[in-house]
Amino acid sequence: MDLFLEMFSGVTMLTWKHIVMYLIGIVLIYLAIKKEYEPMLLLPIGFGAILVNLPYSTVWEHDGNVGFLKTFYDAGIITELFPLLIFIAVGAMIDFSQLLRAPKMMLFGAAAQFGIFSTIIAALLLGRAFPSLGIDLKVASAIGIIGAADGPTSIFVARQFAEEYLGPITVAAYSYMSLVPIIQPPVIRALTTKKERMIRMEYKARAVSKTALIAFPICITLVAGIVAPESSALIGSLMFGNLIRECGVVERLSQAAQNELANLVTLLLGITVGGTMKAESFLAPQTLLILGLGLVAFVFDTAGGVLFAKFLNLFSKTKINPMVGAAGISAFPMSSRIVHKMAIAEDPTNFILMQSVSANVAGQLGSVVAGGIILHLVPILLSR
Amino acid sequence: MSDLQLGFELMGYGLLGVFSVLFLFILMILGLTNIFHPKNK
Repeated sequence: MDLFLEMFSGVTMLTWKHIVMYLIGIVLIYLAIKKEYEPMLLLPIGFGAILVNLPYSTVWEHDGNVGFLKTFYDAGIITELFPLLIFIAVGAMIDFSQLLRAPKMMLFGAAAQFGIFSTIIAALLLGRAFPSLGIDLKVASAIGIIGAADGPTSIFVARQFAEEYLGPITVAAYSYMSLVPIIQPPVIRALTTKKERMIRMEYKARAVSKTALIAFPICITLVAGIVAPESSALIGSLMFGNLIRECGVVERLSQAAQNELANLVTLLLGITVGGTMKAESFLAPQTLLILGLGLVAFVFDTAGGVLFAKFLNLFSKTKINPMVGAAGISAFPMSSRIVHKMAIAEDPTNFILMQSVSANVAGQLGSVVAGGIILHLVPILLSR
Repeated sequence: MSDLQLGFELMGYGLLGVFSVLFLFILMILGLTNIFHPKNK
């Protein structure tokens, strides 16, 4: 009988924390399948969260042996390989030509990073109010980077500054990215008048040659690598992917990066991140805090972009539709689509899609640069 | 210096850094699109 009970000792080892984690995993899988919120990531994350919380689970570590999820974690997250491979794939998918046609839109890619830094301050204020949460500058920076609206950058920074919170930070980053259509419109409406939302923007596209498109990723890598060295891995991967897309002579590599590489790494990344969501570390007040601050980050990102556009309008003869500023976040192409839809809802003949796409693509660059600058600045500030 | 003060410094320098780098990108794009203008071909 004892042997029989020992055979099924997993049942007796179940705790309420395990049950909660199964429910969280099921909710993530539900959101992925039913609501189609970032299904490519939330589905494997949800399944990984269930898998790692099974009693006596062998997927992470068991009897001193390393399980398959821990192997993926050591190989892909600790080495930062997965986020960088994702960036190669993302670079191969992005067409930067709209940004080259309207380069001033780059400014919105910078303004929308306001959410990162304001969230860092918010996290530090909470850390000061509740010292038991243990939020220092590094942890606050890792939380704030959710505002980059950029999963790989969030993982990259969290891995270096707050590895223990990698799970909740990644879940927050990807969940809120999928919720951009719900988060952004009310913030935009709250900060703009109907008249502002109806502002028409003339679209004067500059002609862009194939050579300029090929030179772009090389020059961006050189400039970013020299002035912000910490961003070189992130921006270098992104731009390498873009170079193989634009050069036109390695179409097979470009297709492989956009399809096979993106799919395979996304799959492995998702289930590995799910594997970090162990009940003991995930069911902590810090997780709720991270999810709450993640939402704050997206709201501030949107507000930063909109308010910056309004600020520019104070000095500019040709007015900018402030909604375009909200598209300066990295969530591509969702954010530009939302802004375009909102503009059409106000005036069916007002098309600002091209300007929004330019700002949105700039957001991709802005988030990577912001991540690199944070990685560079935080150790310097702490060492003084 | 407290973490909060460091946070404000990070915010100031961080935003300045992001704007500076992206401004450099704008100048670089303007240079590229002028040097490699389709009409020059």
